[in-house]
Amino acid sequence: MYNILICDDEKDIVSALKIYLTNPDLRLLTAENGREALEILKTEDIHLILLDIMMPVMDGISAMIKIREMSNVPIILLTAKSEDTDKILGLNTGADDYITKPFNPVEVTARVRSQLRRYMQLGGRIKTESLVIGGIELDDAEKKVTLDGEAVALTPTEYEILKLLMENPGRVYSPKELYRKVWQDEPIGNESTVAVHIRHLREKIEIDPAEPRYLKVVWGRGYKIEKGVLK
Amino acid sequence: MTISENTGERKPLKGNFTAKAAAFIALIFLVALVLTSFCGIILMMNQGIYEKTETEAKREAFYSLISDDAFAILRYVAGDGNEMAAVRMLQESNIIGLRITRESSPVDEGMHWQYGVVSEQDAYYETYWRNVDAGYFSYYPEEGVTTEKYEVQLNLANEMLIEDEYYRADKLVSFLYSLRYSAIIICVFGILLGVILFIFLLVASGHKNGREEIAAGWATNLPFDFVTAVFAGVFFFLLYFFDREIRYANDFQVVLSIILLGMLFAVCFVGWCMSLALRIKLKTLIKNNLLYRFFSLLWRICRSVARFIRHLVRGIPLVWKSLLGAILLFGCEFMGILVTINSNDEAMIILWFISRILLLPCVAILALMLKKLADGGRALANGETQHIVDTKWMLPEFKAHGENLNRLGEGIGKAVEQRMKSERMKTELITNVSHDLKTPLTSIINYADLIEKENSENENIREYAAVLHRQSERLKRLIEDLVEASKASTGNLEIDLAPVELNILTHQAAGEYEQRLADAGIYLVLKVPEESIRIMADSRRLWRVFDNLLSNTVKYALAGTRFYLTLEENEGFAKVSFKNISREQLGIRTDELLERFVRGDAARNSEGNGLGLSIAKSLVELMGGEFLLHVDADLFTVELIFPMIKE
Repeated sequence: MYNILICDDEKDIVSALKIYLTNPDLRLLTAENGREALEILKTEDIHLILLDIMMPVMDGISAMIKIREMSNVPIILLTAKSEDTDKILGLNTGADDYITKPFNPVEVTARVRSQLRRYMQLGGRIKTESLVIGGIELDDAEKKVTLDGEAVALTPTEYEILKLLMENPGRVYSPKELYRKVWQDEPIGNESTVAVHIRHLREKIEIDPAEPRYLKVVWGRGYKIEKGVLK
Repeated sequence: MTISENTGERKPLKGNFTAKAAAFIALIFLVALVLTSFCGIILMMNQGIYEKTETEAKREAFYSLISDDAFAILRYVAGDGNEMAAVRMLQESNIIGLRITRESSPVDEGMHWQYGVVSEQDAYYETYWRNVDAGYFSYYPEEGVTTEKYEVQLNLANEMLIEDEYYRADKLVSFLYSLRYSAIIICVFGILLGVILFIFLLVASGHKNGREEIAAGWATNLPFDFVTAVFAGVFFFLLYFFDREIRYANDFQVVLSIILLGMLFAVCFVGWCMSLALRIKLKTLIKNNLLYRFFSLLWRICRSVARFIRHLVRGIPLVWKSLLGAILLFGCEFMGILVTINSNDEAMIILWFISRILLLPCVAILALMLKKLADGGRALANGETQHIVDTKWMLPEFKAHGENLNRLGEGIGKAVEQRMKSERMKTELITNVSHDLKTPLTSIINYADLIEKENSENENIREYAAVLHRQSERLKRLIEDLVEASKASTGNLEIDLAPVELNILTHQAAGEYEQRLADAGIYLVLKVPEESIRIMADSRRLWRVFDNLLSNTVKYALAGTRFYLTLEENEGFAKVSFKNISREQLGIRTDELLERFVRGDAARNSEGNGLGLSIAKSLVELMGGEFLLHVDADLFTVELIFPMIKE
């Protein structure tokens, strides 16, 4: 049983979220502003917070800074502010994830599950034989890939691409390089093939493939796995 | 004189070379003719032919011959006593009668000798004297010696049958008489005809048959003053030569040389006049002159020297320039004083020096103030509205001007700031409104989704909820695009330019859209060169451009057609073109397609909001590229052109 705190001043959104997240494992608590959330946090053992930014009395960013002073509970910002600068500010001041309104309820559920799993089950676990980046774990001995503890089915090509990228996190591979290393052949005008495979791979390992967290497209240069995201 | 064309159509005579040459030669000969007749008239006037009758003229002409002949016969008869010779001589001439008479004197009873028939009518008389002591004859009596007077009377034949000198003199006088009036007529008509030919030649110069414009001749390229000088030189040399030689020449030689000289002069003068006429027609009379060239060269030299000096002066800073000017002026003044000085005025000179030395710093200070004002004006012109002219220590007039400049700068700065602020405000307003719109939209989307998932018996309710869901999703995208379009069009976007490999990006974009294009039944034809094509761009924004254009293709292209995505390199520019066949008839102008918030009528029923093209255009232009849109019937083409990075 996990305690989840939903903090938003818009009651309709809170009740909608409650409906989506209703589950026997989850106990849902609500707050209308940052101050209320801090009050609840003092009395309850909270496992995850869904936090709005624009709220009366105390806004989400100020509340998050206060929370981070006492806890490293996962915080997902859920806000209408969709500017890049807002996202960067939010993630830099301690948020674990950032979802913009209007949101896809399925995505919110998935992200909540993902954060909970990582916080409750995978925290601190280090396995030397496997490659671990964020929630992705690649076990080369078993040729098995798990995302936040759940197995992901990859084709051999997708597996090779992911392995190559995870072996060198942060390094950008151009489509040609990837083709040479994975297909062991010279690419002759078929670099788009790589792009297609990357897209498939992204659909499998990302919650929102349009805004990937791990497998990033560096436009005009190539692809990479983000180095040390979301520890 | 005129040569008419006998073939084909009539061509103007002035273009005919043969006619012109003939006219020229005829004119020269006319000059010779006129000169000849003119000389003849002068000679005849000298001979008095216009005043006397023919008989008188003949008598006069005969007298000069007779005096010589009579003298010779007198010597034969009275001196040598050789009468036979005298008779023979008389028989070979037209003298028909001759009588010699010596007056009787105290020692002699006189002498009388006669030949042929002598009559008193039309007789010629000559008188001679003989020096008795020496025995010779003379035309005049001598003083102080004894002389005898001889009288000779003779008659000439009325009809001269023997061709002797009398015969020739008779013929000549008759000839001159017959010519004496016709010479004047020839002279006048010759002059008239000559003038006509001359005018014709002037008019005709430069014309050539078959050519519309005036044709330059062989000598037109020579400078006109040079040509004139050569002609004049030749003529004056001849004149000088003629003048020197003519003193020892007889009438005939004089006339001949006048005629020759006249012809030469006519050749030169007519040629010169024709050249002059041609130059006037070609409008090169003034320019094609050595003098003109010389002066224009001189003018150009002076002008470039002046320009150089001006450039030099401009290069000197204002303060130094003013000081230099002042010092020069004072120097000139000093020179003037030196010239006009009186040794008693020493005090005045010292005073002058002191005043000038005091004036110099004043000039410098004034120039400094001017320089500050000029700098302020220049800064304003360059858009540096924050530039402040330091008006401290300035004269009131300069101070007022400087303060005006400062206020102008402030005003412009304020206006620009206000303008930028209002642009920013507009974007901020749109962003804030969009945040506020998104919150209720979230609830709408969520509850529509919840209704959809409700296990309702009623199919309609689920269908309606799906509509709500779809439309609210569309509203969401519309809001996002609105924000982005407002930012892109006002330039309120941070553009982070870095080298981008356009060929890789094109492949990546094609890979991203491969599935969606295939689902929409559109065949992608991708043409990307092997070698790398690098441009400066913000790669994320550029992807957004590709994203918009490709999603437009998915939305609006006709299923079952090909979509051509081509990357080309052309003279240092990279060009990406997107070509597809529109599903709906476009029926809208290209500029309307690009206008924000406007979308073709035909596309109104499908998804999307038409902001995509406008955003793409703004982004491409912000990155320094060019966005071209063509619609040719159903063929829809977008071209992105970026300058390539030079290797």
